[in-house]
Amino acid sequence: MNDLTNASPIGCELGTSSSKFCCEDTLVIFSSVVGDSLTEKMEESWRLMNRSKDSRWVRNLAIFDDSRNSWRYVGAMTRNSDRVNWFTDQGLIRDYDDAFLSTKAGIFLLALEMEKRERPIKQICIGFGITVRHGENVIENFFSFMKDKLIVRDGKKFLTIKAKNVALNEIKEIEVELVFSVMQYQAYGAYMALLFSKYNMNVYNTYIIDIGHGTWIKLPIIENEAEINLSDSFTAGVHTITKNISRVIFESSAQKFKIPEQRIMERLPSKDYKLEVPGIGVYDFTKYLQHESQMMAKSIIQQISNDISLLSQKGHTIDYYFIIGGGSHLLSDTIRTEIGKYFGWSEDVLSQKVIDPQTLGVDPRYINCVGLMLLARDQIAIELNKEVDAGFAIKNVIQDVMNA
Amino acid sequence: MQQSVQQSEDLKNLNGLYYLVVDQELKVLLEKFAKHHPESSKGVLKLIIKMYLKLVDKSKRKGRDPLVTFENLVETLMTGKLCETTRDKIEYLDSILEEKNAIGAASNYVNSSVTDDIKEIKSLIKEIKNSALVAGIGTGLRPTMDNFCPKGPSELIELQPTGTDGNNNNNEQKKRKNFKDIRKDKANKIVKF
Repeated sequence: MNDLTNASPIGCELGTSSSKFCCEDTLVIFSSVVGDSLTEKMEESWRLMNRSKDSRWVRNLAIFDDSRNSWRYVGAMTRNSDRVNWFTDQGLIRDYDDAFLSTKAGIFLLALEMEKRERPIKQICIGFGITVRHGENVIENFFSFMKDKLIVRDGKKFLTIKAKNVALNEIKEIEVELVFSVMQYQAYGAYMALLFSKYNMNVYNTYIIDIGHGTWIKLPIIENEAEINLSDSFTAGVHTITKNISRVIFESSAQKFKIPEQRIMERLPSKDYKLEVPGIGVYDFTKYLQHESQMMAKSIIQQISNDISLLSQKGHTIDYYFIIGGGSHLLSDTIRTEIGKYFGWSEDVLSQKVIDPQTLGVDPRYINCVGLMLLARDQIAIELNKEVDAGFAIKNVIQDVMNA
Repeated sequence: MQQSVQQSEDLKNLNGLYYLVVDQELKVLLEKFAKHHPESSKGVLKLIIKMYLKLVDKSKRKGRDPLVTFENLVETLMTGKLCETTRDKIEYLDSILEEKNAIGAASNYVNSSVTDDIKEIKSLIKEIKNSALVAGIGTGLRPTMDNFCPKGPSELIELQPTGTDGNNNNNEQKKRKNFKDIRKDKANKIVKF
Protein backbone atom coordinates (compact mmCIF):
# COMPACT_ATOMS: atom_id res chain seq x y z
CA MET A 1 0.00 0.00 0.00
CA ASN A 2 1.00 3.62 -0.58
CA ASP A 3 2.79 5.63 2.07
CA LEU A 4 -0.01 6.87 4.28
CA THR A 5 2.03 9.11 6.58
CA ASN A 6 0.18 12.21 5.35
CA ALA A 7 -3.14 10.60 4.49
CA SER A 8 -6.30 12.37 5.64
CA PRO A 9 -9.12 10.20 6.97
CA ILE A 10 -12.53 11.28 5.67
CA GLY A 11 -15.92 10.16 6.98
CA CYS A 12 -18.66 9.95 4.37
CA GLU A 13 -22.35 9.33 4.83
CA LEU A 14 -24.83 9.74 1.98
CA GLY A 15 -28.10 10.04 3.90
CA THR A 16 -31.66 10.16 2.57
CA SER A 17 -32.02 13.87 3.24
CA SER A 18 -28.46 15.08 3.71
CA SER A 19 -24.92 14.02 2.88
CA LYS A 20 -22.20 14.49 5.47
CA PHE A 21 -18.44 14.58 5.10
CA CYS A 22 -15.97 14.92 7.93
CA CYS A 23 -12.22 15.54 8.16
CA GLU A 24 -10.46 16.21 11.47
CA ASP A 25 -12.46 18.98 13.19
CA THR A 26 -14.45 20.03 10.13
CA LEU A 27 -17.78 18.74 8.93
CA VAL A 28 -19.71 19.54 5.76
CA ILE A 29 -23.45 18.92 5.40
CA PHE A 30 -25.58 19.51 2.34
CA SER A 31 -28.86 18.16 0.97
CA SER A 32 -28.60 14.84 -0.88
CA VAL A 33 -29.88 16.37 -4.06
CA VAL A 34 -28.34 17.12 -7.45
CA GLY A 35 -30.04 19.06 -10.22
CA ASP A 36 -29.72 20.44 -13.71
CA SER A 37 -27.84 23.69 -14.09
CA LEU A 38 -29.10 26.84 -15.72
CA THR A 39 -27.75 27.80 -19.11
CA GLU A 40 -24.78 30.15 -19.07
CA LYS A 41 -26.98 33.11 -20.02
CA MET A 42 -29.56 32.26 -17.40
CA GLU A 43 -26.84 31.88 -14.80
CA GLU A 44 -25.49 35.30 -15.69
CA SER A 45 -28.96 36.73 -15.42
CA TRP A 46 -29.48 35.01 -12.05
CA ARG A 47 -26.24 36.52 -10.74
CA LEU A 48 -27.46 39.99 -11.68
CA MET A 49 -30.77 39.45 -9.94
CA ASN A 50 -29.49 37.48 -6.96
CA ARG A 51 -29.92 39.58 -3.81
CA SER A 52 -28.59 36.96 -1.40
CA LYS A 53 -25.56 37.91 0.66
CA ASP A 54 -24.70 34.25 1.15
CA SER A 55 -22.10 33.55 -1.52
CA ARG A 56 -20.47 30.61 0.25
CA TRP A 57 -19.36 27.67 -1.89
CA VAL A 58 -21.56 25.22 -0.03
CA ARG A 59 -24.68 27.25 -0.86
CA ASN A 60 -23.84 27.99 -4.50
CA LEU A 61 -22.05 24.87 -5.63
CA ALA A 62 -21.91 23.31 -9.07
CA ILE A 63 -19.73 20.31 -9.92
CA PHE A 64 -18.69 19.54 -13.47
CA ASP A 65 -20.07 16.20 -14.62
CA ASP A 66 -17.60 14.68 -17.10
CA SER A 67 -20.04 12.02 -18.26
CA ARG A 68 -22.68 14.60 -19.17
CA ASN A 69 -20.08 17.21 -20.10
CA SER A 70 -22.06 19.81 -18.17
CA TRP A 71 -22.38 21.43 -14.77
CA ARG A 72 -24.69 19.96 -12.14
CA TYR A 73 -25.92 21.87 -9.11
CA VAL A 74 -25.45 20.21 -5.72
CA GLY A 75 -27.33 20.75 -2.45
CA ALA A 76 -28.90 24.15 -1.85
CA MET A 77 -27.98 25.41 -5.33
CA THR A 78 -30.59 23.03 -6.79
CA ARG A 79 -33.14 25.69 -5.77
CA ASN A 80 -32.48 26.99 -9.26
CA SER A 81 -32.73 23.64 -11.04
CA ASP A 82 -35.61 22.70 -13.28
CA ARG A 83 -35.20 19.05 -12.49
CA VAL A 84 -33.74 17.70 -9.26
CA ASN A 85 -32.68 14.22 -8.31
CA TRP A 86 -32.57 13.00 -4.71
CA PHE A 87 -29.98 10.34 -5.35
CA THR A 88 -30.73 8.29 -2.23
CA ASP A 89 -34.07 6.79 -1.40
CA GLN A 90 -34.78 5.06 1.90
CA GLY A 91 -31.06 5.31 2.53
CA LEU A 92 -30.13 3.49 -0.67
CA ILE A 93 -28.06 5.01 -3.45
CA ARG A 94 -30.34 5.12 -6.49
CA ASP A 95 -28.19 7.03 -8.92
CA TYR A 96 -24.44 6.34 -9.07
CA ASP A 97 -23.71 9.37 -11.30
CA ASP A 98 -25.25 11.86 -8.90
CA ALA A 99 -24.01 10.06 -5.77
CA PHE A 100 -20.51 10.29 -7.26
CA LEU A 101 -20.99 14.01 -7.93
CA SER A 102 -22.13 14.46 -4.37
CA THR A 103 -19.04 12.61 -3.09
CA LYS A 104 -16.91 14.90 -5.23
CA ALA A 105 -18.75 17.92 -3.80
CA GLY A 106 -18.15 16.75 -0.23
CA ILE A 107 -14.45 16.14 -0.79
CA PHE A 108 -14.10 19.47 -2.60
CA LEU A 109 -15.80 21.45 0.19
CA LEU A 110 -13.68 19.73 2.83
CA ALA A 111 -10.51 20.35 0.84
CA LEU A 112 -11.48 24.01 0.53
CA GLU A 113 -12.01 24.38 4.28
CA MET A 114 -8.82 22.51 5.17
CA GLU A 115 -6.88 24.67 2.71
CA LYS A 116 -8.12 27.76 4.56
CA ARG A 117 -6.76 26.28 7.77
CA GLU A 118 -3.45 25.52 6.07
CA ARG A 119 -3.93 21.78 6.39
CA PRO A 120 -4.51 20.87 2.74
CA ILE A 121 -5.88 17.48 1.79
CA LYS A 122 -3.70 15.69 -0.74
CA GLN A 123 -4.24 12.02 -0.06
CA ILE A 124 -7.45 10.61 1.37
CA CYS A 125 -8.76 7.38 2.89
CA ILE A 126 -12.53 7.19 3.21
CA GLY A 127 -14.64 5.67 5.95
CA PHE A 128 -17.85 5.05 4.03
CA GLY A 129 -21.20 4.37 5.67
CA ILE A 130 -23.47 1.83 4.04
CA THR A 131 -27.06 1.08 4.88
CA VAL A 132 -28.16 -2.23 6.28
CA ARG A 133 -30.13 -3.03 3.14
CA HIS A 134 -27.40 -2.14 0.67
CA GLY A 135 -25.20 -5.15 1.05
CA GLU A 136 -21.53 -4.99 0.23
CA ASN A 137 -21.95 -5.81 -3.45
CA VAL A 138 -23.98 -2.73 -4.24
CA ILE A 139 -21.40 -0.50 -2.61
CA GLU A 140 -18.56 -2.37 -4.30
CA ASN A 141 -20.31 -1.64 -7.60
CA PHE A 142 -20.49 2.01 -6.64
CA PHE A 143 -16.78 2.06 -5.87
CA SER A 144 -16.01 0.22 -9.12
CA PHE A 145 -17.98 2.97 -10.84
CA MET A 146 -15.86 5.54 -8.99
CA LYS A 147 -12.60 3.75 -9.80
CA ASP A 148 -13.36 3.99 -13.52
CA LYS A 149 -13.47 7.77 -13.19
CA LEU A 150 -10.07 8.09 -11.53
CA ILE A 151 -6.86 9.12 -13.24
CA VAL A 152 -3.95 6.69 -12.85
CA ARG A 153 -0.49 8.17 -12.50
CA ASP A 154 2.66 6.44 -11.22
CA GLY A 155 0.51 3.62 -9.89
CA LYS A 156 -1.58 6.06 -7.85
CA LYS A 157 -5.25 6.92 -8.33
CA PHE A 158 -6.29 10.55 -8.48
CA LEU A 159 -9.70 12.16 -8.39
CA THR A 160 -10.06 15.45 -10.25
CA ILE A 161 -12.82 17.76 -9.08
CA LYS A 162 -13.89 20.83 -11.02
CA ALA A 163 -16.23 23.03 -9.03
CA LYS A 164 -17.95 26.36 -9.56
CA ASN A 165 -19.30 28.92 -7.13
CA VAL A 166 -22.28 30.02 -9.22
CA ALA A 167 -22.93 33.16 -7.18
CA LEU A 168 -19.35 34.39 -7.62
CA ASN A 169 -18.82 32.78 -11.05
CA GLU A 170 -15.57 31.37 -9.74
CA ILE A 171 -14.17 28.02 -10.88
CA LYS A 172 -11.66 25.89 -8.99
CA GLU A 173 -10.11 22.57 -9.84
CA ILE A 174 -8.44 20.28 -7.33
CA GLU A 175 -6.87 16.85 -7.44
CA VAL A 176 -6.62 14.39 -4.55
CA GLU A 177 -5.19 10.92 -4.33
CA LEU A 178 -7.64 8.23 -3.25
CA VAL A 179 -6.10 5.27 -1.46
CA PHE A 180 -8.86 3.14 0.03
CA SER A 181 -12.36 3.16 1.37
CA VAL A 182 -13.23 1.18 4.45
CA MET A 183 -16.90 0.29 4.72
CA GLN A 184 -19.18 -0.14 7.67
CA TYR A 185 -22.85 0.30 8.45
CA GLN A 186 -23.70 3.97 8.86
CA ALA A 187 -24.85 3.62 12.47
CA TYR A 188 -21.62 1.80 13.31
CA GLY A 189 -20.03 5.23 13.05
CA ALA A 190 -21.87 6.31 16.19
CA TYR A 191 -20.49 3.25 17.95
CA MET A 192 -16.95 4.19 16.86
CA ALA A 193 -17.47 7.67 18.31
CA LEU A 194 -18.54 6.11 21.62
CA LEU A 195 -15.66 3.65 21.54
CA PHE A 196 -13.13 6.45 21.06
CA SER A 197 -14.61 8.66 23.78
CA LYS A 198 -17.02 7.43 26.46
CA TYR A 199 -15.99 3.77 26.23
CA ASN A 200 -12.30 4.61 26.46
CA MET A 201 -11.59 1.90 23.86
CA ASN A 202 -13.35 -0.78 25.90
CA VAL A 203 -15.92 -2.86 24.06
CA TYR A 204 -19.52 -2.50 25.25
CA ASN A 205 -22.59 -4.02 23.66
CA THR A 206 -24.51 -1.10 22.24
CA TYR A 207 -27.89 -0.71 20.61
CA ILE A 208 -27.97 2.15 18.13
CA ILE A 209 -31.28 3.70 17.09
CA ASP A 210 -30.74 6.11 14.20
CA ILE A 211 -33.84 8.15 13.38
CA GLY A 212 -33.42 9.98 10.13
CA HIS A 213 -35.63 12.05 7.89
CA GLY A 214 -37.21 9.26 5.91
CA THR A 215 -35.98 6.12 7.63
CA TRP A 216 -34.98 4.83 11.02
CA ILE A 217 -32.35 2.19 11.57
CA LYS A 218 -31.68 -0.25 14.36
CA LEU A 219 -28.22 -1.66 14.77
CA PRO A 220 -27.28 -3.78 17.77
CA ILE A 221 -23.51 -4.12 18.17
CA ILE A 222 -22.40 -7.17 20.12
CA GLU A 223 -18.77 -7.74 20.98
CA ASN A 224 -17.69 -5.01 18.59
CA GLU A 225 -19.60 -6.46 15.64
CA ALA A 226 -22.89 -5.47 14.09
CA GLU A 227 -25.55 -8.08 14.78
CA ILE A 228 -26.60 -8.25 11.16
CA ASN A 229 -29.62 -10.50 11.70
CA LEU A 230 -31.24 -7.93 13.95
CA SER A 231 -30.17 -4.87 11.98
CA ASP A 232 -32.75 -3.28 9.76
CA SER A 233 -34.00 -0.02 8.35
CA PHE A 234 -37.63 1.05 8.25
CA THR A 235 -39.38 3.54 6.03
CA ALA A 236 -40.46 5.88 8.79
CA GLY A 237 -38.84 8.94 10.21
CA VAL A 238 -39.45 12.62 10.85
CA HIS A 239 -41.02 12.81 7.40
CA THR A 240 -43.71 10.32 8.48
CA ILE A 241 -44.64 12.52 11.43
CA THR A 242 -44.74 15.78 9.50
CA LYS A 243 -46.67 14.16 6.65
CA ASN A 244 -49.33 12.94 9.07
CA ILE A 245 -49.61 16.33 10.75
CA SER A 246 -49.94 18.01 7.37
CA ARG A 247 -52.75 15.61 6.53
CA VAL A 248 -54.55 16.29 9.82
CA ILE A 249 -54.41 20.05 9.21
CA PHE A 250 -55.72 19.51 5.69
CA GLU A 251 -58.62 17.41 6.92
CA SER A 252 -59.47 19.66 9.85
CA SER A 253 -59.63 22.68 7.56
CA ALA A 254 -62.29 20.88 5.51
CA GLN A 255 -59.62 20.13 2.89
CA LYS A 256 -59.11 23.80 2.16
CA PHE A 257 -55.52 24.32 3.26
CA LYS A 258 -52.59 22.06 2.73
CA ILE A 259 -49.59 23.11 4.79
CA PRO A 260 -46.39 21.81 3.18
CA GLU A 261 -44.48 19.33 5.33
CA GLN A 262 -41.41 21.50 4.95
CA ARG A 263 -43.14 24.29 6.87
CA ILE A 264 -43.93 21.93 9.71
CA MET A 265 -40.42 20.53 9.69
CA GLU A 266 -38.92 24.03 9.87
CA ARG A 267 -40.71 24.63 13.18
CA LEU A 268 -39.42 21.51 14.92
CA PRO A 269 -35.84 22.51 15.83
CA SER A 270 -37.04 25.76 17.46
CA LYS A 271 -39.92 23.91 19.21
CA ASP A 272 -42.33 26.44 17.76
CA TYR A 273 -45.37 24.30 17.07
CA LYS A 274 -47.70 27.00 15.77
CA LEU A 275 -48.57 27.63 12.13
CA GLU A 276 -50.66 30.28 10.52
CA VAL A 277 -53.36 28.71 8.40
CA PRO A 278 -54.82 31.27 5.96
CA GLY A 279 -58.35 32.24 6.81
CA ILE A 280 -58.45 30.13 9.96
CA GLY A 281 -55.81 31.62 12.19
CA VAL A 282 -52.94 30.15 14.16
CA TYR A 283 -52.94 26.40 14.33
CA ASP A 284 -51.14 24.76 17.27
CA PHE A 285 -50.04 21.25 16.31
CA THR A 286 -48.37 20.41 19.65
CA LYS A 287 -51.03 17.80 20.46
CA TYR A 288 -50.69 16.03 17.10
CA LEU A 289 -46.94 16.15 17.26
CA GLN A 290 -46.99 14.48 20.67
CA HIS A 291 -49.42 11.87 19.44
CA GLU A 292 -47.46 11.10 16.28
CA SER A 293 -44.16 11.00 18.19
CA GLN A 294 -45.69 8.66 20.75
CA MET A 295 -46.99 6.34 18.02
CA MET A 296 -43.66 6.16 16.28
CA ALA A 297 -41.72 5.75 19.51
CA LYS A 298 -43.98 2.83 20.41
CA SER A 299 -43.37 1.10 17.09
CA ILE A 300 -39.63 1.59 17.59
CA ILE A 301 -39.71 0.26 21.14
CA GLN A 302 -41.65 -2.76 19.91
CA GLN A 303 -38.78 -3.60 17.57
CA ILE A 304 -36.23 -2.99 20.31
CA SER A 305 -38.01 -5.22 22.83
CA ASN A 306 -38.21 -8.05 20.29
CA ASP A 307 -34.48 -7.73 19.68
CA ILE A 308 -33.65 -7.66 23.38
CA SER A 309 -35.62 -10.85 23.82
CA LEU A 310 -33.81 -12.54 20.91
CA LEU A 311 -30.42 -11.35 22.14
CA SER A 312 -31.05 -12.62 25.66
CA GLN A 313 -31.84 -16.04 24.19
CA LYS A 314 -28.33 -15.99 22.78
CA GLY A 315 -26.97 -14.97 26.17
CA HIS A 316 -26.23 -11.36 25.16
CA THR A 317 -27.19 -8.21 26.97
CA ILE A 318 -27.04 -4.60 25.86
CA ASP A 319 -24.87 -2.34 27.98
CA TYR A 320 -25.89 0.94 26.41
CA TYR A 321 -28.58 2.41 24.16
CA PHE A 322 -27.81 5.32 21.87
CA ILE A 323 -30.46 7.35 20.06
CA ILE A 324 -29.07 9.45 17.22
CA GLY A 325 -30.02 11.02 13.89
CA GLY A 326 -31.92 14.11 12.80
CA GLY A 327 -35.13 12.81 14.37
CA SER A 328 -33.60 12.08 17.74
CA HIS A 329 -34.35 15.55 19.09
CA LEU A 330 -38.01 14.84 18.47
CA LEU A 331 -38.26 11.25 19.65
CA SER A 332 -35.37 10.51 22.00
CA ASP A 333 -37.22 11.57 25.17
CA THR A 334 -40.22 9.41 24.36
CA ILE A 335 -38.11 6.40 23.35
CA ARG A 336 -35.93 6.84 26.41
CA THR A 337 -39.02 6.84 28.66
CA GLU A 338 -40.40 3.75 26.92
CA ILE A 339 -37.08 1.92 27.35
CA GLY A 340 -37.19 2.82 31.05
CA LYS A 341 -40.74 1.51 31.35
CA TYR A 342 -39.87 -1.70 29.54
CA PHE A 343 -36.99 -2.56 31.85
CA GLY A 344 -38.49 -1.00 34.95
CA TRP A 345 -35.42 1.22 35.33
CA SER A 346 -35.23 4.15 37.67
CA GLU A 347 -34.19 7.54 36.28
CA ASP A 348 -30.65 6.98 37.59
CA VAL A 349 -30.22 3.74 35.69
CA LEU A 350 -31.91 5.16 32.63
CA SER A 351 -29.54 8.12 32.48
CA GLN A 352 -26.60 5.73 32.58
CA LYS A 353 -27.95 3.19 30.13
CA VAL A 354 -29.35 5.55 27.49
CA ILE A 355 -26.50 7.75 26.39
CA ASP A 356 -27.21 11.39 25.70
CA PRO A 357 -25.33 12.34 22.48
CA GLN A 358 -24.81 15.86 23.82
CA THR A 359 -22.42 14.45 26.45
CA LEU A 360 -20.06 13.54 23.60
CA GLY A 361 -20.11 17.08 22.31
CA VAL A 362 -21.23 15.96 18.86
CA ASP A 363 -24.60 16.66 17.27
CA PRO A 364 -26.62 13.40 16.93
CA ARG A 365 -27.31 14.34 13.29
CA TYR A 366 -23.74 13.80 12.20
CA ILE A 367 -22.18 11.59 14.83
CA ASN A 368 -22.21 8.66 12.37
CA CYS A 369 -20.06 10.61 9.94
CA VAL A 370 -17.58 11.56 12.67
CA GLY A 371 -17.34 7.89 13.66
CA LEU A 372 -16.76 6.86 10.04
CA MET A 373 -13.84 9.28 9.93
CA LEU A 374 -12.49 7.56 13.08
CA LEU A 375 -12.91 4.22 11.32
CA ALA A 376 -10.76 5.47 8.43
CA ARG A 377 -8.27 6.94 10.89
CA ASP A 378 -8.01 3.61 12.68
CA GLN A 379 -7.48 1.79 9.39
CA ILE A 380 -4.68 4.18 8.46
CA ALA A 381 -3.07 3.54 11.87
CA ILE A 382 -3.35 -0.23 11.32
CA GLU A 383 -1.66 0.13 7.90
CA LEU A 384 1.10 2.19 9.51
CA ASN A 385 1.30 -0.28 12.41
CA LYS A 386 0.70 2.54 14.88
CA GLU A 387 -1.61 3.23 17.78
CA VAL A 388 -4.67 5.18 16.73
CA ASP A 389 -5.25 8.69 18.04
CA ALA A 390 -8.60 8.54 19.85
CA GLY A 391 -9.21 12.27 20.16
CA PHE A 392 -11.84 14.14 18.18
CA ALA A 393 -13.77 17.39 18.40
CA ILE A 394 -15.90 19.03 15.74
CA LYS A 395 -15.26 22.77 15.65
CA ASN A 396 -16.41 23.78 12.16
CA VAL A 397 -19.72 22.76 10.67
CA ILE A 398 -20.32 23.98 7.13
CA GLN A 399 -23.86 23.56 5.88
CA ASP A 400 -25.83 24.62 2.85
CA VAL A 401 -28.69 26.09 4.84
CA MET A 402 -28.27 29.12 7.06
CA ASN A 403 -30.13 28.11 10.19
CA ALA A 404 -30.40 24.36 10.06
CA MET B 1 -36.73 6.82 57.41
CA GLN B 2 -37.66 6.77 53.76
CA GLN B 3 -34.27 5.27 52.96
CA SER B 4 -34.72 2.43 55.45
CA VAL B 5 -38.16 1.64 53.99
CA GLN B 6 -36.55 1.53 50.54
CA GLN B 7 -33.78 -0.75 51.79
CA SER B 8 -36.29 -3.05 53.41
CA GLU B 9 -38.27 -3.15 50.17
CA ASP B 10 -35.11 -3.96 48.22
CA LEU B 11 -34.20 -6.74 50.64
CA LYS B 12 -37.68 -8.15 50.35
CA ASN B 13 -37.43 -8.17 46.58
CA LEU B 14 -34.02 -9.78 46.59
CA ASN B 15 -34.68 -12.31 49.33
CA GLY B 16 -35.90 -15.11 47.10
CA LEU B 17 -33.29 -14.30 44.51
CA TYR B 18 -30.35 -14.46 46.89
CA TYR B 19 -31.67 -17.51 48.64
CA LEU B 20 -31.75 -19.51 45.44
CA VAL B 21 -28.34 -18.31 44.37
CA VAL B 22 -26.77 -19.22 47.68
CA ASP B 23 -29.03 -22.10 48.63
CA GLN B 24 -26.84 -24.82 50.06
CA GLU B 25 -28.50 -27.59 48.10
CA LEU B 26 -28.25 -25.66 44.91
CA LYS B 27 -24.63 -25.00 45.69
CA VAL B 28 -24.07 -28.74 46.06
CA LEU B 29 -25.86 -29.32 42.80
CA LEU B 30 -23.68 -26.78 41.06
CA GLU B 31 -20.57 -28.24 42.64
CA LYS B 32 -21.55 -31.64 41.35
CA PHE B 33 -22.04 -30.16 37.95
CA ALA B 34 -18.55 -28.77 38.21
CA LYS B 35 -17.19 -32.12 39.27
CA HIS B 36 -18.68 -33.96 36.32
CA HIS B 37 -17.92 -31.26 33.82
CA PRO B 38 -14.46 -30.15 34.94
CA GLU B 39 -13.60 -28.91 31.45
CA SER B 40 -15.95 -26.00 31.84
CA SER B 41 -16.79 -26.03 35.51
CA LYS B 42 -15.98 -22.57 36.76
CA GLY B 43 -16.99 -20.69 33.68
CA VAL B 44 -20.23 -22.59 33.32
CA LEU B 45 -21.15 -22.09 36.97
CA LYS B 46 -20.59 -18.39 36.66
CA LEU B 47 -22.60 -18.38 33.46
CA ILE B 48 -25.47 -20.24 35.09
CA ILE B 49 -25.67 -17.83 37.98
CA LYS B 50 -25.26 -14.75 35.83
CA MET B 51 -27.89 -15.97 33.43
CA TYR B 52 -30.18 -16.79 36.30
CA LEU B 53 -29.96 -13.24 37.57
CA LYS B 54 -30.85 -11.97 34.12
CA LEU B 55 -33.63 -14.49 33.81
CA VAL B 56 -35.22 -13.32 37.04
CA ASP B 57 -35.61 -9.85 35.57
CA LYS B 58 -36.82 -11.14 32.27
CA SER B 59 -39.27 -13.55 33.87
CA LYS B 60 -40.64 -10.87 36.14
CA ARG B 61 -41.33 -8.67 33.15
CA LYS B 62 -43.05 -11.44 31.29
CA GLY B 63 -44.89 -12.71 34.37
CA ARG B 64 -43.24 -16.12 34.23
CA ASP B 65 -41.91 -18.15 37.09
CA PRO B 66 -38.14 -17.54 37.24
CA LEU B 67 -37.67 -20.87 38.96
CA VAL B 68 -39.08 -22.80 36.01
CA THR B 69 -37.04 -20.67 33.66
CA PHE B 70 -33.93 -21.37 35.69
CA GLU B 71 -34.62 -25.07 35.79
CA ASN B 72 -34.96 -25.00 32.02
CA LEU B 73 -31.63 -23.28 31.79
CA VAL B 74 -29.85 -25.81 33.97
CA GLU B 75 -31.56 -28.54 32.03
CA THR B 76 -30.49 -27.07 28.71
CA LEU B 77 -26.91 -26.75 29.85
CA MET B 78 -26.76 -30.25 31.26
CA THR B 79 -28.76 -32.16 28.70
CA GLY B 80 -29.00 -30.00 25.67
CA LYS B 81 -32.75 -30.53 25.72
CA LEU B 82 -35.13 -27.70 26.49
CA CYS B 83 -38.15 -28.70 28.53
CA GLU B 84 -41.10 -26.34 28.47
CA THR B 85 -42.63 -27.41 31.76
CA THR B 86 -41.54 -29.11 34.95
CA ARG B 87 -43.59 -32.14 33.90
CA ASP B 88 -41.60 -32.38 30.63
CA LYS B 89 -38.44 -32.17 32.65
CA ILE B 90 -39.34 -34.93 35.08
CA GLU B 91 -40.42 -37.15 32.21
CA TYR B 92 -37.24 -36.44 30.38
CA LEU B 93 -35.13 -37.27 33.43
CA ASP B 94 -37.15 -40.46 33.87
CA SER B 95 -36.44 -41.44 30.29
CA ILE B 96 -32.70 -40.86 30.82
CA LEU B 97 -32.82 -42.91 33.98
CA GLU B 98 -34.57 -45.77 32.20
CA GLU B 99 -32.16 -45.58 29.32
CA LYS B 100 -29.16 -45.64 31.65
CA ASN B 101 -30.58 -48.57 33.61
CA ALA B 102 -31.27 -50.47 30.41
CA ILE B 103 -27.74 -49.90 29.18
CA GLY B 104 -26.39 -50.81 32.59
CA ALA B 105 -28.39 -54.02 32.67
CA ALA B 106 -27.39 -54.98 29.15
CA SER B 107 -23.73 -54.34 29.65
CA ASN B 108 -23.76 -55.41 33.25
CA TYR B 109 -22.31 -52.01 33.98
CA VAL B 110 -24.13 -49.42 36.04
CA ASN B 111 -22.84 -45.90 36.10
CA SER B 112 -24.01 -45.35 39.62
CA SER B 113 -22.49 -41.88 39.83
CA VAL B 114 -24.51 -40.53 36.88
CA THR B 115 -27.68 -42.27 38.04
CA ASP B 116 -27.29 -40.89 41.54
CA ASP B 117 -26.70 -37.40 40.17
CA ILE B 118 -29.80 -37.56 38.02
CA LYS B 119 -31.84 -38.78 40.96
CA GLU B 120 -30.47 -36.03 43.11
CA ILE B 121 -31.16 -33.34 40.54
CA LYS B 122 -34.65 -34.69 40.10
CA SER B 123 -35.36 -34.61 43.82
CA LEU B 124 -33.79 -31.19 44.19
CA ILE B 125 -35.94 -29.77 41.44
CA LYS B 126 -39.02 -31.29 43.06
CA GLU B 127 -38.03 -29.95 46.44
CA ILE B 128 -37.40 -26.45 45.20
CA LYS B 129 -40.60 -26.51 43.21
CA ASN B 130 -42.57 -27.74 46.23
CA SER B 131 -41.06 -25.07 48.47
CA ALA B 132 -42.09 -22.42 45.99
CA LEU B 133 -45.60 -23.85 45.79
CA VAL B 134 -45.94 -24.03 49.57
CA ALA B 135 -44.98 -20.39 49.82
CA GLY B 136 -47.83 -19.51 47.48
CA ILE B 137 -50.53 -21.62 49.18
CA GLY B 138 -53.07 -19.76 51.22
CA THR B 139 -51.74 -16.41 50.21
CA GLY B 140 -53.61 -16.24 46.96
CA LEU B 141 -50.35 -15.35 45.32
CA ARG B 142 -48.79 -17.10 42.38
CA PRO B 143 -46.01 -19.45 43.41
CA THR B 144 -43.19 -17.39 42.02
CA MET B 145 -39.78 -16.71 43.46
CA ASP B 146 -41.14 -13.46 44.87
CA ASN B 147 -43.10 -15.53 47.35
CA PHE B 148 -40.39 -18.10 47.90
CA CYS B 149 -39.04 -17.15 51.30
CA PRO B 150 -37.33 -20.18 52.84
CA LYS B 151 -35.76 -20.02 56.27
CA GLY B 152 -32.28 -21.12 57.12
CA PRO B 153 -28.75 -19.88 56.74
CA SER B 154 -27.64 -18.47 53.47
CA GLU B 155 -24.27 -17.40 52.30
CA LEU B 156 -23.76 -14.50 49.96
CA ILE B 157 -21.73 -15.35 46.92
CA GLU B 158 -19.99 -12.43 45.28
CA LEU B 159 -22.55 -11.54 42.69
CA GLN B 160 -24.26 -8.40 41.57
CA PRO B 161 -27.74 -8.28 40.18
CA THR B 162 -28.17 -6.80 36.70
CA GLY B 163 -27.80 -3.08 36.04
CA THR B 164 -31.23 -2.42 37.57
CA ASP B 165 -29.59 -1.84 40.94
CA GLY B 166 -28.90 1.68 39.88
CA ASN B 167 -25.14 1.43 40.17
CA ASN B 168 -24.41 0.02 36.78
CA ASN B 169 -21.77 -2.11 38.46
CA ASN B 170 -22.31 -4.83 35.92
CA ASN B 171 -20.41 -2.90 33.31
CA GLU B 172 -17.52 -2.13 35.63
CA GLN B 173 -17.17 -5.67 36.91
CA LYS B 174 -17.24 -7.46 33.59
CA LYS B 175 -13.81 -7.93 32.11
CA ARG B 176 -13.99 -5.84 28.97
CA LYS B 177 -12.23 -6.52 25.73
CA ASN B 178 -10.18 -3.58 24.60
CA PHE B 179 -10.60 -2.37 21.05
CA LYS B 180 -6.86 -1.82 20.74
CA ASP B 181 -6.27 -5.53 21.31
CA ILE B 182 -8.87 -6.78 18.84
CA ARG B 183 -8.84 -4.14 16.10
CA LYS B 184 -6.40 -6.11 13.95
CA ASP B 185 -8.08 -9.47 14.49
CA LYS B 186 -10.95 -8.90 12.10
CA ALA B 187 -10.27 -6.96 8.98
CA ASN B 188 -12.72 -4.31 7.88
CA LYS B 189 -14.16 -4.48 4.41
CA ILE B 190 -11.78 -2.36 2.34
CA VAL B 191 -11.97 -1.28 -1.27
CA LYS B 192 -8.62 -0.14 -2.63
CA PHE B 193 -8.78 2.47 -5.33
